[in-house]
Amino acid sequence: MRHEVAAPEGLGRAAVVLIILALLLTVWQHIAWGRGARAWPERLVMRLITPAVALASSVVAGVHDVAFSLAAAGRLGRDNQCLRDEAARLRADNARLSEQVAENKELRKALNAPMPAGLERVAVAEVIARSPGLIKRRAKIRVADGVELAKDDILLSGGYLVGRVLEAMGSVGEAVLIVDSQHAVAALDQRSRDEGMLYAQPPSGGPDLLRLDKVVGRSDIAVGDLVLTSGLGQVYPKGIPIGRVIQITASPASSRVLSATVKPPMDLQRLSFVTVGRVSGVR
Amino acid sequence: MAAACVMETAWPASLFWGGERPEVLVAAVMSTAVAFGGGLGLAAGFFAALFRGPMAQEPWGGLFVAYMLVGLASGLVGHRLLVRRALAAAPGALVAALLFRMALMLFQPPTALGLWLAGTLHALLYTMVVAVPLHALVLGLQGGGYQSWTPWR
Repeated sequence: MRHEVAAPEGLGRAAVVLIILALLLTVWQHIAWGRGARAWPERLVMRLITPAVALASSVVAGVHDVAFSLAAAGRLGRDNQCLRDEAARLRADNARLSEQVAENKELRKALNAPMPAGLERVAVAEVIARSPGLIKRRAKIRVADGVELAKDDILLSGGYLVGRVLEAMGSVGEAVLIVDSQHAVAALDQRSRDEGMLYAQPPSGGPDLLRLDKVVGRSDIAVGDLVLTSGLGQVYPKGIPIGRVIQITASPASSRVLSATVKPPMDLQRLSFVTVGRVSGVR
Repeated sequence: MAAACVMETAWPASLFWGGERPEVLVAAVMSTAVAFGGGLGLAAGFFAALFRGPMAQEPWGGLFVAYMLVGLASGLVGHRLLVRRALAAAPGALVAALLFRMALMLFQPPTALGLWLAGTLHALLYTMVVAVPLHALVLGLQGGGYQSWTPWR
């Protein structure tokens, strides 16, 4: 069965009509384009076809997206798992790097801190152990291989006194901190020159504090004054900063005998690195 | 023809093959001409060019000649040889698309012949694939069903 819709003579007439129409449209378009415009039939076709193209495009894009998603679901799942693993690894790396940054910051602080006069820098030591109690405050420190610690080496943090080495075994040493209950430092108020002995204040659960006891002198000590080692007793050289006065208490026996509470600037419970100093000229 | 033009224009970029999409309008013109004869083939070619010109922003002259030539040739030759055979659309589309591309080349000469040849090869093969279901659809719309999936009798 064939569906011939036009006899040969009909085909000829149709062909002539269509060719004339095509010629007219072509000339029309040519003239319109020459004027920089679009021919009216062109605009009509575009107005008819463009909405359908837009609809078809969105439908095809939707179908394509769904098909792609279904096809790629397995791979996306694997990729997702890989990305989760990668994210976990990166988080671990980030934590490690943050720790290194913090350590680096502390090291820089220790290395760049000014050394008090009369002391020379030996090394920066890492705190490798701390005594567990709040009464006996000792720390084990270690310096780089090749550096020898010595008894009575002085430990500083940010230029402030931390303690001294009690026992040295090569690059490892045991140090007593200034907040140890059996430790005392001969100290003086930098401004008023009042002197006294600096002891650890009994632990109260708060920050480590020191007590400058039996301050005898003009008693001109004031809150905010800087307290330094006085050099008496020759345990510590003179002039190493220790902390600042935060409170003054008069003795019940005499108003001329005062006690001052001194706060070191660093948290002695959390020290990771300390600078090891040695009195100049001593080996 | 309008539907074929919409299909060709909205062909998704992800389904391009070798940078080419199938000549859906050529396949539609060829299929119409094979199914209904030269008169409707010529008319199909006219409307194919009429729709494609503005949508592709191409001049009508070459398109009218190329599409109407495809419609007329497919109607005169294919209607006698290939009608009612769905798979016949594949070789029919191959010849029709080649004829279309060559006719169009006379009006829009390619700047790089190698690229044109590679593009034409991809487009021809792609059009062959698309033409088979399209021809089956046209035959189905025409009614009476098709006799065979084979292109031979």
